[in-house]
Amino acid sequence: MTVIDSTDQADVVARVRDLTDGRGPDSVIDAVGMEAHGSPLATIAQKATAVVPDVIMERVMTVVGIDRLAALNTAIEAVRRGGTISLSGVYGGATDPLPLMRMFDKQIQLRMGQANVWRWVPDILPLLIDGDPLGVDEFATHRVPLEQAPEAYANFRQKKEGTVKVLIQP
Amino acid sequence: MRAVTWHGRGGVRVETVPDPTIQDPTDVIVEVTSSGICGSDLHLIEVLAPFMTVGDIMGHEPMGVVREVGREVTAVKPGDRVVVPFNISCGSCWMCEQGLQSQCETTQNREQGMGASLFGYTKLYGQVPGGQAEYLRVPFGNTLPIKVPDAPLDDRYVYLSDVLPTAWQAVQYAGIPQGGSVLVLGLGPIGDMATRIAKHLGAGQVIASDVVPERLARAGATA
Repeated sequence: MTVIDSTDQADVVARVRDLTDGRGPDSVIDAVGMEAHGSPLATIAQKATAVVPDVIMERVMTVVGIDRLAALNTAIEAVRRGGTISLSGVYGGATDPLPLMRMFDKQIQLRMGQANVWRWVPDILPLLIDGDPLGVDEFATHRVPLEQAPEAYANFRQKKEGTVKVLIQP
Repeated sequence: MRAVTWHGRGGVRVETVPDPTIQDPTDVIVEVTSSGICGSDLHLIEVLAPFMTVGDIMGHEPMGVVREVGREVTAVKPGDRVVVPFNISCGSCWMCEQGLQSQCETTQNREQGMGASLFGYTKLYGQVPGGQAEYLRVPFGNTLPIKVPDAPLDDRYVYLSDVLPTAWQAVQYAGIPQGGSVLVLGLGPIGDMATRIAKHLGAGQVIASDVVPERLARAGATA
């Protein structure tokens, strides 16, 4: 597997093309969603939810596009022509702008949505009973008692102490 | 019982709240033994805060042991070890029969214009008490809980609630040709797991990116 530091979005697209015969990958999975770094205006709009009364922000959130779209835009640029983008990262803006001309011209397929858990259980559960091919036994970075949940949330939010996955164990 | 509760954008607290009880004859009460914190839980403290209410119980990645069942529950019994899916689906409507449990027609939030209810996830999704607590009321006891073996540790099965099916669906929806290439953006739990599943299902080339050095190192180490 190749890992790329995506601090510079343009660099990611160029490096991925270099790794894929200049075409881009067959598929891109956007596992970032609305947390993506890199869009200052959208960040300000999201932060406004912290100071504007809820009754107003609730309305704003359901009618306005405010997602930070850096990851999705990277996906659209990086994927090969005729390729597929799969969104698992959650988006929540009601009128987010998308580059439809670019998407149409590249003939991009786009699939998304909350996981349908039971749809996949019959495929996944047998893997877990036979062994651990996906490395779930060591997947959690932190296991904490219930009383320490607030601290674990704070570390996860700030990506501190190498926090990737926390299991609360009441 | 003790539970993780929402208190605005400052973060969460652990409070004593009433124990859940059987309300419908198909309910079960699960004593929670492990419960994940999801990236989408952070959205509740930030961007989705307007849809939360002070005191809401957080969490949608729980597993545990069945402690009590309603009188119409036959599929599980007290003592059974179960994982609870994050989406609340009846398992018998038209959408559930299509494998679209996130659109369950029994729990769809029509007045909000949204899909199936979720545990611990805003009034957009039913304002259902979540699983970061000592006990959880689980509806649809005959169809929703996933029975799992008694061993080994919780870590083996707890991700069936969200991380594994979310990453698995992401890979399936990506339509990677056998031996083909995939770029995974973001190496949080879902992105990390998606790289593993893509390789397991036969992707030829997996590339992943993130901005956090520890996450890049972690993913690179499992290559």
